[in-house]
Amino acid sequence: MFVLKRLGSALPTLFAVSLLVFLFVDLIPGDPAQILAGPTASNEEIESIRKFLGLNEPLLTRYGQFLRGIWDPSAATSFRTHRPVVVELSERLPNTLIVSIGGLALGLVVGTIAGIVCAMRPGGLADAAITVLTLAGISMPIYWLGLLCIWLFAVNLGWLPAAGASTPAHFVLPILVIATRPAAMFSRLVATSLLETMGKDYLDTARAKGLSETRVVLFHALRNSLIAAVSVAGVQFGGMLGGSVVTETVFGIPGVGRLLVDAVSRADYPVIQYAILMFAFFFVVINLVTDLLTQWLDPRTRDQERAI
Amino acid sequence: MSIMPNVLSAPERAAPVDAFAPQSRWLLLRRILSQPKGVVGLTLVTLYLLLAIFGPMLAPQDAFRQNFAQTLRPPSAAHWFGTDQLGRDVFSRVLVGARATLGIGVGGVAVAFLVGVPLGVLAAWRRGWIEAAVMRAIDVMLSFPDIVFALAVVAILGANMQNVIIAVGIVAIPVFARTARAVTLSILAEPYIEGSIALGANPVRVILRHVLPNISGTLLTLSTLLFASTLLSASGLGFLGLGTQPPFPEWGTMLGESRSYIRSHPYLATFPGLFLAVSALAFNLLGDALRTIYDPTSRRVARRPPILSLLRRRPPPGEAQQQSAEKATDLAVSVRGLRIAYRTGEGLLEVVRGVDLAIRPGRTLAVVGESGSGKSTLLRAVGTLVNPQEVAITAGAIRIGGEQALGLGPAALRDLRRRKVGIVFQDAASALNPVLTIGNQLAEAVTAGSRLDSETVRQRCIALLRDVNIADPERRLDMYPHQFSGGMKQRIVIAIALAQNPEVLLADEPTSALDVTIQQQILVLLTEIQKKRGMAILLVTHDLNLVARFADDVAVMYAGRLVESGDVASVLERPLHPYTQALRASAPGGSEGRGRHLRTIAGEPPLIGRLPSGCSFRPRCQRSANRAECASSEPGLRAVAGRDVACVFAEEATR
Amino acid sequence: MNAPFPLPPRVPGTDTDDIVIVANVSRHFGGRRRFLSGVAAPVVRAVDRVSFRVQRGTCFAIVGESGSGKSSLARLVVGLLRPTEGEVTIDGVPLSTLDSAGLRAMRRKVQLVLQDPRASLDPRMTVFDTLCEALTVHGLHRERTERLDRIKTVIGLVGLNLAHLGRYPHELSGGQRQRVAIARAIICEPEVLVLDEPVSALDVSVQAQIINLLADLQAKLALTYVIITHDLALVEHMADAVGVMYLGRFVEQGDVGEVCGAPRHPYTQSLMAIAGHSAPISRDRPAPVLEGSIPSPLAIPPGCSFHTRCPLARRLAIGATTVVETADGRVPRPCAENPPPSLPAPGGRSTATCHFADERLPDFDHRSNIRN
Repeated sequence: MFVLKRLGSALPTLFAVSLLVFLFVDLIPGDPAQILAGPTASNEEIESIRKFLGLNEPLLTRYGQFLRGIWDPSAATSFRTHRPVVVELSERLPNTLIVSIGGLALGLVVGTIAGIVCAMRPGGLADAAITVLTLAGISMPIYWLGLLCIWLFAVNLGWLPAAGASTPAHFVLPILVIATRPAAMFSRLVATSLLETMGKDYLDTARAKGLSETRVVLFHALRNSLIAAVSVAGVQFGGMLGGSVVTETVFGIPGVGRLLVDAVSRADYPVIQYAILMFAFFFVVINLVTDLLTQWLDPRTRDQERAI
Repeated sequence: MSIMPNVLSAPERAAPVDAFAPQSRWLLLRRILSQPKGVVGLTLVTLYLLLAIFGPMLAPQDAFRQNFAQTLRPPSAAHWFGTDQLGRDVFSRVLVGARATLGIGVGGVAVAFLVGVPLGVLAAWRRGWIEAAVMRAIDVMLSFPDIVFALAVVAILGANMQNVIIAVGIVAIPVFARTARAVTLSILAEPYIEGSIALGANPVRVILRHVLPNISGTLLTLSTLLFASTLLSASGLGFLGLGTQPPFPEWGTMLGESRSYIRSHPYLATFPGLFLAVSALAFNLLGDALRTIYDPTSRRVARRPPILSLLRRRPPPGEAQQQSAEKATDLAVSVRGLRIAYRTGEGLLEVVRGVDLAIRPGRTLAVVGESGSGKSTLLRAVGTLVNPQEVAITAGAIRIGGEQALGLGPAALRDLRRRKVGIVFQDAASALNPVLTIGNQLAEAVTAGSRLDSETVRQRCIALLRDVNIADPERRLDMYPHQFSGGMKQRIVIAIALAQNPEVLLADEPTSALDVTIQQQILVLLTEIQKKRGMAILLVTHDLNLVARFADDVAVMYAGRLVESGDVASVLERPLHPYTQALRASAPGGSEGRGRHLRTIAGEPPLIGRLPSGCSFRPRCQRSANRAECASSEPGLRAVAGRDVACVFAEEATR
Repeated sequence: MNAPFPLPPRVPGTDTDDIVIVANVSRHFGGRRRFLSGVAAPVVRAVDRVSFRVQRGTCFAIVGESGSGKSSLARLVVGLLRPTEGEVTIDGVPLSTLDSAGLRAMRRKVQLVLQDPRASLDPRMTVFDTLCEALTVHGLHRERTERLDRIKTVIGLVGLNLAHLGRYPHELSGGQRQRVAIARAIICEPEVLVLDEPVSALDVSVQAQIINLLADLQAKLALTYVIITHDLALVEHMADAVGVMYLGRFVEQGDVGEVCGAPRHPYTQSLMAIAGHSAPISRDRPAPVLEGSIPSPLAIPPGCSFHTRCPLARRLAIGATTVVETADGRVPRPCAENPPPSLPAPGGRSTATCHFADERLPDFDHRSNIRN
């Protein structure tokens, strides 16, 4: 029931997103055809580009055409390569997903463990070290970190390849680099919410039952503090998808992010539109999943929804 | 790279009253500088701002002059950071680039702030469709990963510095709007807002005078943290070649240009990257320091290394404990000379200053006191639940059911808690874990320390719920705490406390959060259970009427010490200590006193750590009348007329 | 700032000594469709057809448990909430005739003092600022020296001194904060103070000070009080008249001596039985326990809303001929089906809303089992 309701609320968002992405071309100041054709183009050239873009059609028809491009390869082609956009995207998607999911998973595991360590012994040496690392992790531009890693591991030590995506070894550095941010964020988040939970009376109730401290923390406190952490994990994943734009450029991985950057610098509008739409779609789906997960973890939200 | 993560951990809750001191800038500065991260952060931020202002003037060479004779030189005396592929001096370029890099950050945050904050405040103030529309728009905007959104904006507007500012600004708008809405909502829920509306203030005044000042701290924190991530986002665009256009230097763009030379000339990437990373770090540090000031949830308790907690492990020496050892065995609870102190930044702060208690099985002892009297800390100490990192037991002994309760190892402590102690808290809602079913939480209490098959456990849980008069227990086992009313939750907490047949039940204001009619139900239940099981109850409360009805013995606590203790009949009917007398007399009640003035106690309870010399009640005492005896030393408990009183002139009351 | 607002003229014919008249007032929450989801929220009847009058210079108390609607009623009197039905008249001026600016001006006459002084003062304003704001809002004493004089006077009235003026709320103790809140309320010389649980957040030893202060101020400034509380002892001490609220309605109201001395509604009876009296220590004869808890205002029981918990109805059901079997036990048919009438007491100085207000019964049983 809740799943349906949540889906119902995601649909308008998706619709608005698709509309925004569709209108993207119209938002470009001036005539997009003019810009595409360049300053020296003749009127006929501009007119033919207009026709090609379908800019003369009514808005609704164009929107329908745009939506059709999602499943119909012939409906939208890249200006640059003249290949269907859908094909371009689907070829590169796996690389992006490997880096994003790998980075997120690694970050979550490391971050959660670090957060628990921090919260268990606040003021200790490990806490101090992790706090410093965390701040550094949040402040580090990942493109710079990527460059440094390439220089150290690829150029100096020669352990790993510097760029490309042909072997599994190629993915090690990008995943490591991209994992720094979620690891840092997560360790903070878990530590803060664990510490907050630690002051709650129900932990004392649990202690008065005669439970061991480990059980009190892992069974009672962690579950409560993870609720907050999970909802952030979803947004994190979105951030990772976005981060892939940069990471893929640094490590020369042919992924969707790289494709998008190239498309932006070459004004390849169909590719930009569909790439953004895809990112947004993933983001909406992930938020949905996170919400459901939070729901499952926290019985209170279940009932609130029921009451409404 | 992304803006969101930082922001999600930014406070969405406004700080409580005490987090604010007078709004003097100097005080804020002092508070920032009292934290190491604040000192480092603020220093670095100041340096960076100076760099942004004076950087171009300080540059030793022309940052734009190309010199093809000197391309890609490593750092040297002439070129501190080396030269780039066009032979330009990297050091000069970094200095010149500071203004652009930081300027983009300032611009982006300003755009986001100026659009986002009014939107958020408006949404919170007007609610209704405006709020729904704003929230939906935020939802849509947040559906794009931020860098992707920024890329799209740049793709539409074209790549230059101004458009990068707009792009990173737009990306941060929803974050500001959402946070501003959340904190405004929390401020609007504060009673002082209602107070000012009730005063007759108009909406504009309420927003300007009351809401904005109170959300400013949170917004300042958010701006600082967002500044760091905006900086990284904007430079990321530069790195991708979509930011500030060459030849103008910007750190991200410089990094992007250096990418091709990372194999042969790594120093090209080193310096702009370092400046960028340190600037982000600086703002994050400062933001963190601000958050510690404005967001109560992020503040960690000042804790000491656990050297002091060793005191707790070691049974404190002293003959008091020795001599009472034999007698104490038939008491359910025996406390001797207990002293408890909070660990604070300034050292130990004593809250319980030498307390003796004795409860026989089957009896109820009520500890009565006002807030700050130390009564709750005392109860937690008896329950062995004080956190040794925050609270130190500096002297005294606690025996529960004849067993020493201080200085135990973790396993022995657990065992003692399980077998002997049950606890009931004031707020039943927070005493139950919100994410576990009632059955789960009961079962945990039942199975602790033993192995039982699941059916036996279930039957025991059901029996426990029956004991606390909960109808239909089979069905209730699968329910969650929030599905019960306050009174029912308190019954469940009691059931959990009873699970292992404790010898003593500790109850900390068990009914003061409940309605009067429910209070009565809970107290009747407690006395019934006590009769059936013969356990001792230690009841902590501020309500004398409740004591009169439900306790056998009473101990009145004032400023960390007992001032009068004995059986309820003698202490409450004929109180001898001036404090107890005044408490009895100051309660309104009965039609006989109608309209007449109540007897009051002058002044207010003293703050711990700032007690007067001699008897701590002296400044408020009518009996003392500035007699020297009261000021010279703190009176101890002595037996007078069938109870113990800590007053030098206790006999005056018996006449 | 603004000029003193002109108040609308009194409606002729209402010129009585009753400064507050609440006539058949109801306030319902919810029921509106939500934006973008189209689901109607359930209706909560927070206040349901309540009427009372407060004579100038007297004290009226509203007693009830949490969820009884007493706080909503207080806000209706101050005009912070608009009634769904009915009319609140303050000093002859019906509040429904005022627009929001007029209402703001009216608040000079009716001030609200909230429960928790810790939360009801803006943490970023000094005592002086807080008091000044009240004057500024109503455009009073605009001369600097005049204003200072007024603030000095009021500060003295509530038992504080000039040294407190520069302090922030967190620098004051609980009792001092409540004194500031009272000072803010009286600085504009209002005629009515609505006090929402004025002492329940304070320490026991400080409560008496504030109660005495309120009594003094009432005498000195000829104030009219409307006190919201759950504490019957306080009501007996301070109030002249009282209304006992249960699920949004007055179940019994009238003269304090009558209502508290000889309660006729079973709910008032059980409240009085548990109310704290300092004199008797009666461990052998515990107070009666009222069963169950207050039902959700979303689902108010039909008939007499108290019948789900009423001990009198249980007893009467034993001998009665027409009983109804409900989820909460056997009760006489009228209790479960018909809304009870308001029956005046023999002397006419109080009314009780109960079918059987005049049935005399011995002590009722307190050891019945408890349901949710």
